[in-house]
This record gives sequence, structure tokens and C-alpha cells, in this order.
Amino acid sequence: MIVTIFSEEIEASCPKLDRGSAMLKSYEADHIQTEVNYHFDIPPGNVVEYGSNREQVLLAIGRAIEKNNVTFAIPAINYVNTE
Amino acid sequence: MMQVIPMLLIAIVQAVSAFQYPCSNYVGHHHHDVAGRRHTILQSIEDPTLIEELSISGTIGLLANSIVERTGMANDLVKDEPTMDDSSESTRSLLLYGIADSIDDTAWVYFFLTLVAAIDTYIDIHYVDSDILKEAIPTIAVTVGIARTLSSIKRTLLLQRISGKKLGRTRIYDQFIDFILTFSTCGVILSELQLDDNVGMGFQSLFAISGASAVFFSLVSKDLAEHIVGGLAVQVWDAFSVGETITLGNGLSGKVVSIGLVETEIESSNNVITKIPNSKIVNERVSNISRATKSQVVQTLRFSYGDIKLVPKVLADIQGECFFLLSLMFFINEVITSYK
Repeated sequence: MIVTIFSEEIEASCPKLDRGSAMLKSYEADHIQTEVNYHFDIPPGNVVEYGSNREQVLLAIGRAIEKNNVTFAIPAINYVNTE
Repeated sequence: MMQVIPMLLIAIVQAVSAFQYPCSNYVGHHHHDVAGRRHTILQSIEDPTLIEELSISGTIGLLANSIVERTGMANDLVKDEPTMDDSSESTRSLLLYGIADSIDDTAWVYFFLTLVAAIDTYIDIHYVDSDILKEAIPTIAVTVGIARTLSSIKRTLLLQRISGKKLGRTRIYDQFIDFILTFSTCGVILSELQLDDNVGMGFQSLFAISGASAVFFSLVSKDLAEHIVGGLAVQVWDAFSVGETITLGNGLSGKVVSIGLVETEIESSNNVITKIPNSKIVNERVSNISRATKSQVVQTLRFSYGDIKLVPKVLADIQGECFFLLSLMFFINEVITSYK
């Protein structure tokens, strides 16, 4: 039901959003890993539009984090460069 | 015009014959004395066929030339032939221009070959046999005309096909068809002229030298040849064109600055220009970012186990936030790139 409402919202408010998901990905040793993955009808060659769109997604993530009063985990292992 | 051309012809012939006379023994197949020469000149000048041919071909040439100039003026193409880059020109005027231009060329080829035949009749040019040449003139002129007309029709069709889009591999098709047309035209002309033994020997030695030099160069410049073939392959391949952003299989990413015969230049985001030999680039995987229509944003988020109950709510909120905010679409340059 919620998914349906979201889909309708997407189509109504964001015509350039193609498809996407925000879901739990895996349980790691000392943290939970999730992945936000959105596809847009924006050509990546258009650097300005692509960059500002990416920023809006990241800002949206930041607001959701703040709203729920959670913080990002700091993993003991550096995962950033191994992915 | 009809009177001017014969007068001009007489003047040219007399000037050339006066100049050629002292060394005529060395260059001529046949030897005439002065009286005989003058007699031949007069005979040839009075030859009605030659004069008619010269006059008619000259007139057609001038008329076609004026059409070419007018069409050119109308299309701002005064000096240069329309190229594949002039995709803005209308198809009809391009075709008219092309056909008028080919008629112009045909007429002038006819005119000058007839002139050569006429001059040969008086002076006897060493490598020219006027009897063969006279027979060959119509075929040569028509062949040139057909080749030029086909070339202009081909160009118009190709321009129509691309109609303002990027040229891509159309340019190489254009050049290839032009090459075939030129090659066949040269073949027809050579066979029509029935070159005599001396010239044949000259051609044979030329071919022998070019064959030997081809072997020599292929040994010396194997890499260069590979690069050039690679360059042709890049153009036919049409994986990218100048101005597009690409990512290569080796990780190099950037904007294509130029595609040369031997190498391709790619400018990375840090403004460093990298030159890659074309023979290498055809063997690479190429991802053309400029031709992609969709983009993706992926972000990994890590939470502590203490927040496990909140994670589903956070993810739902992210979706809600995204859909609300994405509709606003601010266009700004200073952006956050990722959360680490």
C-alpha cells in the first residue's frame, strides 16, 4: 500500500525519476548496510543537472536521517575503498 | 563567343608552334617543314568539327558555370563546394548546384581535351595521339560527368539521411564512395587513352617503384600503418565523436578533443589531455557517457545495530524525501558528491 502511494507520488511530482529503491542490503560485522539506488531520466553527459540531482538525493537522505534522530555508523574496517 | 574561340585558338596555336618549332625534331613523331606545318594549321583551323565542338562545349561550360555561381550566391557557397558539414543547406539547391557543377566540369573537360587534340594536330605532342584522343573525348567527358553527378547525388542523399544530426560514420561512407568513383573514372580514362608503349613503360616502372616502396614502408612503419588503419576503424566504428564524454576499459574517462588519423585525444576532468593511439582504442571497451539517456545515484548508508528498529522508517523517509525534493530540481554547481 505504502509502495503504491510512493509510486503515485513519484509519477506526479518527479517526472524525471525512472525507478529506485532504498532498502536493507546486508548485516556486516559491526553495522547494518543499506543502499539507496535511484535511476533518473537525466543524461549523465549533462554534468550540472546530474550533479545537482545527485545533491538533492543526498540532501534528502540527510533530512531523513535527521528526522529519525539516527547517526551513521563508523565501521571498524574501512569499507569505502574496498567496494 | 562563337568568333572569339576560334580566334583565341589560332593565337594559342601560333604562339605554341612558334615556341615549339626549334625543337620539333626531338619531340615529334612526324616531321613537317614550315610550309607543311602552316598548311596543317590552316586545315585544322578550318576543320568545322573541331571548331563546333570547342564552341559548343565552351558555351555549355560558361552557362553551367554561371548557374553554379548563381546557385552558389543564393546559398552563400560562392567559392567552396558544399561539404558534408553544410547540413543546413536545402536538399534541392544542393542537388541543383551539384548537377550544374558536374555539367560545368564535363563541358570544360570536353573543351580542354578538344583543345589538346586540336593543338596536337598542328604541333604533334609526343605523348598524344590526336586520333585516339578525339575518339576518346566524348567517353572521358561523359564518364567525368557521370562520376561528378553520382557524387553530388550521393552527397545530397547522405545529407538528407543525416538531416542535421551528427555526421558519425557518414563522413567515411562519403569519402569511400568518392574514392571508388575517382578510381573507376581514372580507370576508364586510362583505358580510353590507349597509352602507347613508352608511357606504358613509364607507368610500369612507377607501379614497380610504388610496389617496392609499399613493401619498404610496410616493414618500416608497421606501427604507423596499424594506427592509421585503427583511425579508419574508429571512424567506421562510430563509438564516439568529438565533444562526447567517454570512459575506456582501462578506466580513463574524459571528453574527446580530437580524432586524428593516428591518435585520439581525450581531456580528463583535471584538464590533462591524454593521447591514445587509434590501434589501441579500437581494442578497448568504450562506454559513451554522452549517448546515455539515463543516470543513476547509488549511495551506501551504514547504521549501528542499536538503530536497527529505526532503519526501515529511515529508508521509507528517504524515499518520501527524494520524491518530494526531486520535483524541485535546483541547478547549482556546488554539490555534495557522497557520504563516506
